[in-house]
Amino acid sequence: MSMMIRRSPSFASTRSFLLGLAGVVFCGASAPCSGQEAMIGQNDLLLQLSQQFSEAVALFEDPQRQSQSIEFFGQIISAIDDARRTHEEIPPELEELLQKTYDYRARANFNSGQLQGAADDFRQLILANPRYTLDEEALSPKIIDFYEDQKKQLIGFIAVNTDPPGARVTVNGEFVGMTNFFPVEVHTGVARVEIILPGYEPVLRDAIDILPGEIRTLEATLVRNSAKLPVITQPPGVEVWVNGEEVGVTSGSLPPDLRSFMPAEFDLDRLSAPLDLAALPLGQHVVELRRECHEPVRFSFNAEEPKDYTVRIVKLEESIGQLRLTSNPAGARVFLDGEYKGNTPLDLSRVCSGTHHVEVKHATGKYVEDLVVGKDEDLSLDCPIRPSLAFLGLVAEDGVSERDLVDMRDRLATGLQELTAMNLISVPEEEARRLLRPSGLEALVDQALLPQQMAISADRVRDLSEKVGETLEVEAFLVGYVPAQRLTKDVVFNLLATGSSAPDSFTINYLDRNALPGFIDELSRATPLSGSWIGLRTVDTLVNPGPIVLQLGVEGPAAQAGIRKGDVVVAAEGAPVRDSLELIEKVREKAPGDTLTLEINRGGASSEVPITVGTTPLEIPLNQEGFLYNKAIIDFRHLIVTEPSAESMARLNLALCHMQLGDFETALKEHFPRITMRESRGISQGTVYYYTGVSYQKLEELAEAVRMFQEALNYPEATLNSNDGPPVVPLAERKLRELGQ
Amino acid sequence: MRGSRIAPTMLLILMTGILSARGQAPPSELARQHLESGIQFYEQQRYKQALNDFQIIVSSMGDTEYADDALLHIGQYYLEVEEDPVQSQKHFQALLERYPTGDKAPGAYYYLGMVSLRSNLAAGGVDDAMANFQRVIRLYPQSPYVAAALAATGAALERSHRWEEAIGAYFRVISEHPQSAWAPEAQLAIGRSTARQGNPVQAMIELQQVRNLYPESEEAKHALDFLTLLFRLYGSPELGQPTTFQVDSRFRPAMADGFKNVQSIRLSATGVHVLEEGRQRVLNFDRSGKLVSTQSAADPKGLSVDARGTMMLANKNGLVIDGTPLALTIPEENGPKQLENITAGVRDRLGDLYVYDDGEKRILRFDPQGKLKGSFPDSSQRQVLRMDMDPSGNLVVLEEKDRSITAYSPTGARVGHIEKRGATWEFKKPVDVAIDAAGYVYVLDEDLAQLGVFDPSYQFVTLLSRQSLGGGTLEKPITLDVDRSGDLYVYDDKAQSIIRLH
Repeated sequence: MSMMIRRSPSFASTRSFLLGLAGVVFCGASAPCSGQEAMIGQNDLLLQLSQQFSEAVALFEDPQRQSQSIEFFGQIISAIDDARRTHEEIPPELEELLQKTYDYRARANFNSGQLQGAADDFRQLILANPRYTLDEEALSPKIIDFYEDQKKQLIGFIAVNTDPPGARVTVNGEFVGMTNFFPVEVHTGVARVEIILPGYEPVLRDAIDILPGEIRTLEATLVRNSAKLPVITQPPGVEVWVNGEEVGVTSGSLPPDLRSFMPAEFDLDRLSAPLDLAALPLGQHVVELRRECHEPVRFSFNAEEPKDYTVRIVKLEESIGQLRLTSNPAGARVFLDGEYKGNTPLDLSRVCSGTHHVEVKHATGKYVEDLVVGKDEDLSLDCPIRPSLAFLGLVAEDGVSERDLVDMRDRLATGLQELTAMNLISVPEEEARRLLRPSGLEALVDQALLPQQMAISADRVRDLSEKVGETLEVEAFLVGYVPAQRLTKDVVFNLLATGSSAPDSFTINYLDRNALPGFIDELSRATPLSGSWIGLRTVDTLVNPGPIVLQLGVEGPAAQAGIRKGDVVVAAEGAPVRDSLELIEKVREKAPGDTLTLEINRGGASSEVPITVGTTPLEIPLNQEGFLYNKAIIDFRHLIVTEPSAESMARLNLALCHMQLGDFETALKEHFPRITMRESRGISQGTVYYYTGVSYQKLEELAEAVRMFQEALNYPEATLNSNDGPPVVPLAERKLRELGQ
Repeated sequence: MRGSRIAPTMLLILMTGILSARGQAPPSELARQHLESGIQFYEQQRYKQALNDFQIIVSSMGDTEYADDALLHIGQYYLEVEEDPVQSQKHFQALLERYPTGDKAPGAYYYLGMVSLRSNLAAGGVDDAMANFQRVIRLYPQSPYVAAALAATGAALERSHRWEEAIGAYFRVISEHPQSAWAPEAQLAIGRSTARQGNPVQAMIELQQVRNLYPESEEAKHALDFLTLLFRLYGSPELGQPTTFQVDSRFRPAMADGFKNVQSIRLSATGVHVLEEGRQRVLNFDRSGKLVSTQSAADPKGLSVDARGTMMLANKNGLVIDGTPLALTIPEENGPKQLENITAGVRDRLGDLYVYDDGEKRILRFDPQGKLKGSFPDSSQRQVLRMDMDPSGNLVVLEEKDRSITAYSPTGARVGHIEKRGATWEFKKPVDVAIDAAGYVYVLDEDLAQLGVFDPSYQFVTLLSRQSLGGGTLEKPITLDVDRSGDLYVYDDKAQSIIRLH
């Protein structure tokens, strides 16, 4: 319905009105209007008619044209009547507008000498609202009198008194007041009067004649048919439920005049004001009192007689427990049922018994649990912080049916719930897009986190992933990509850690039941920072019965145990060792601190040598297919916080992860400068210098690269990979030669 | 009438065409099918059928995405099967001309490099090869051929004896492409090059890495042999243990009529081959010493086994290569003259033949077809007792005159020389020279029953005395060979027996 700008009310307003009417008619005639549509329609109608009313009033107020306003007022009245016919009920504003319109038209009729019309209008007005009053100060006494004359013919008065008072009175279904009230105007005629007071029998007077101008007074003694039970609680604020429905909440404090009547076992200062459970029908009732952190109380009440019963005083016992929360790392923020409570370690001494949702949040992850606290229970909860992983769903190539995709998504989301090493958050795809859209990272979902397929640089991926990680409060995202295939059903999972510049891919065969658990195992496996080590380098030959010791790590466990160069290892832990690889496996099976017993041949004689297994730092393997570098990033970030002593090695490995993903800048800016290795042998500062040089070289900052490689030369015993890895010095020398040094 | 006769025919042709068109796959799909078919045939070594499939793609589906694949496969066939560098080069270059931006272009560069490397032993060949490998690495850094190109660069650098650079190239293979098929070979080559640099202990460490990282690979087995060899020569002394060989009693070759006039022992992958000059026969034993076969030979003078394991007999007029005789002549004014006094012959990797004729007193070089290429290394006269070829393709010659040993590169340059007497060794009567797979040179001294060992650069390593060779078993050793792991096979003329020293 368009609203036109009106230059003169005559034509334009008619046209807009008719348009509005057409809208209303259309709504009513062509199809049943829905409630909301009707509401909207009526609002529009009200607006339109209000404007028209204003224009008609403007006409009315022009003495030369007042009579013209009659027609327009009539149109408004017709429109409202039509609306009433269509909807049965019209909003109070329309009702009010109708009354005003009648008022004005009546006056216009009166002023133009159409007294019958005026009388009819006033009558309609009075019928609509028997208590309508004209503005006596603004109108001429003639009109007022005329109106009153009409009113006298149509209006009588009724007054109702009841014992007890406070009953609700309706006349012909219309509420007129609460007893006991002074006479009020009602229409003449036969009236049906209802008197209702909860807890009392209703009174119905069917045929009450209301004569014009006459006051009819009704008296009624109401018959009680209910009981009343006042309830006082200690403490206040208790919900009162009767027969499963809440009827009120106790509040306030005990009135002074009741204090002396209270039994001694109650704390007068903690008692509530009485809450009347009024109008309780006769019979049995179950009353339940509930308050948070309190044991509920339930009792039966038998309302045998319709009377006021003695107040029931009920004390609710507190039901609280204690909750002690620790986390590793400490200093995590604790949210209990969504409310921040403090940082770990945290003692919460007053926790309501019942189920609670606990979230312990840290920069490197969170811990989430729903737990039940019992009354007086002292519950200790250690909250290991786990990184969170958002599963953003699947994207597919054309050619993959929607049904298949939905099925796959649901099953994979369910299967991924088995992941316990991380908090898995399944974000519905639309929700993910909504969250990601402002940051522009929505395209990542579309392209399944494959930056090389879209025009987003690795730097941008890194920056955006940090922002989205903050938004979703996660440490990594996972998106599945389903290529169109005929025979196999592969799903390529792409895993991106926040702050990483490129994802890892892991392909599973959807039809293989073991494939997803295998992926979950990979996600669950912690990336080790160290491994077992004995400091022995052996070689295999065809002329010795086992691997022969070629080199020993200086002060390594094997050397300290008395192993010498030239010893031939023939057995480990009683089992034959045929080659060096078998010996390496035996070492790996042991933990640092364990004893590994080797049988060696030396100069023709055999002996057993127990070796206390030591530790070697470990670097992540570079360029290894299937290795989840993003997962390693998550693990190492976590380690930095939980094991500060391992920070340097964790940062070295973080730097290697970023280098592997092509992000040399992050390695150089975020990690290498913060590494300090005290060791001079094995994985040591020389190792760090070497990799720093490689990063500078990749970024073509050759002068810095040369400087770093030269620094590395000062660590002749530094190695890569592990303490047994290749020495750094020859590699650094090679690099320097490459760079023309 | 004609119209009515033609009309049905035309209709039939039209219908056939329509039906054929309906049943035929689009060209791209057809090309893919031909490619798959060709590859399968190739793997089954049905090369003719394979070539057919590839040629069809090239000639009639040249616009499809598979045409460059087909050209690449054809080129590979000529390189690997036919060993025809000209044809293979032609196809690789055609690929680059027609499909320069295709995904097989790096493959073409790589194989062009391989053609140069394999077919041109001169320095220019190595340079050409390296240039092509570098193109792959620089222009197509994400290509799957990069690992292969790096490994091939390493091989080219090894050929040029640029060990450090070779190690650098191989190191890039194992660090940047550790999962590639080239990684085990690269790690093995690092060990090999490190040994050539004169770091045998570090070489052993690198070779052991082959076994630790790639235990299931073929290279792991080669590494074990090489480790054993290096351990014997260097590891034992490094660990304060003298290098000694023991008689391996598991090897017991025996003949009912004994051994007589054994001129040569040579090893191949299939076994141990013994030339009995007087009895004009070659005895073939397996590695346990069991006689497998006997070959008669007319007037045999020498026995060799080339790099591919092909056995070659030298008789006075020519060579017998894998059972096929090849008469050798030299051109003279009056026409070709047949050689009549050949006493030794060897073949290089490209198939060129080097023979010593005692009448001419020269070493002569022939192409694989027996056409004379010239005197080698020059036209000087000499008396040659023994000849062999080292793994680098250098001809190693034991001369009778001063019993010295000289190594000549394929271009005739002298690359190594071992005198009868040096600062730390002295031979009395060198009678044979053997070269192991790693390039170590073993000089057998008949009179002193000792063995001098020299590294691939012809630098002295050690002298194994009679005592250290089987505890003094040898009395009069006159010929020997060495296997991959350094086990020695020696014929002792006094005992008339062949023993293996382990």
